[in-house]
Amino acid sequence: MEPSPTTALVELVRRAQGRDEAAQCELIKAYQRRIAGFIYAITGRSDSVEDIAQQIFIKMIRALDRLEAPEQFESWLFRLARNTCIDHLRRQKLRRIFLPFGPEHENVPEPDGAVDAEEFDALRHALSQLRPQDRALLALVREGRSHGEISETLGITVAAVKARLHRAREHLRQHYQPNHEA
Amino acid sequence: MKPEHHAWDCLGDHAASLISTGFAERTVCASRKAACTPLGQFFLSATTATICAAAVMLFFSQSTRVENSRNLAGWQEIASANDDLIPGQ
Repeated sequence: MEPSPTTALVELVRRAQGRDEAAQCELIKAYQRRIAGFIYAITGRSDSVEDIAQQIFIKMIRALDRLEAPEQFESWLFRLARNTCIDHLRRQKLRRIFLPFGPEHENVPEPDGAVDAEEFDALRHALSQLRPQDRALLALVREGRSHGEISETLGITVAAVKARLHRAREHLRQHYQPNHEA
Repeated sequence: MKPEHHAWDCLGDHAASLISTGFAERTVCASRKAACTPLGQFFLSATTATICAAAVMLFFSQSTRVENSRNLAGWQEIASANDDLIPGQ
């Protein structure tokens, strides 16, 4: 009988916990796409996606020993990713206090071909109008995290998650205008 | 389906395209190198602690020696003064 995807994932996580580098590599390959999308939704910067993704996966490998329930790996990984992205944005904000930061640094143009759809550009613009915490919230929902998991991640009640999510979606809708120039 | 769903998919595809080939292998390798850092930090801390302990011990032994010789000189002075006070010597 074929093992279920969850069983296979738990098995893979267990092997990675046992310092099996092939399993760690497999785990990274399985999640790198989703983590990249998650990072981009929060930071909105193409130039830092790979760096932050690497930080997240290095943290993941080093902290895997402490993960007691491998079946909760996915929500644990996205919590790690969310915290790393928020830390990155905080550090960036601090750096701007000490370094002269002009608008030309703030709005680094996307490389050619990166923005291939008007809708995509509109979403980028709309997300940039939200607070990083709200962007993270929307990205967590987009990644299929339940309200319960998000409440654990953020340390708030499920009702508060629902309220914040409703607000974040409203803001996103207000700023999401694919038919207009962003 | 919400209107921005397609845009979210585009965003995910774009982000995924930013990850270069061999990323997983490079990350595992970087993690291996990073794992050496705590050991290096431990050795650095141990070396610093040893140097500090040696410096403290050196200072302590030096100051003890100076103190002892000063005390000894004081006692010798008292002893010779005492000898002078004893009659018939």
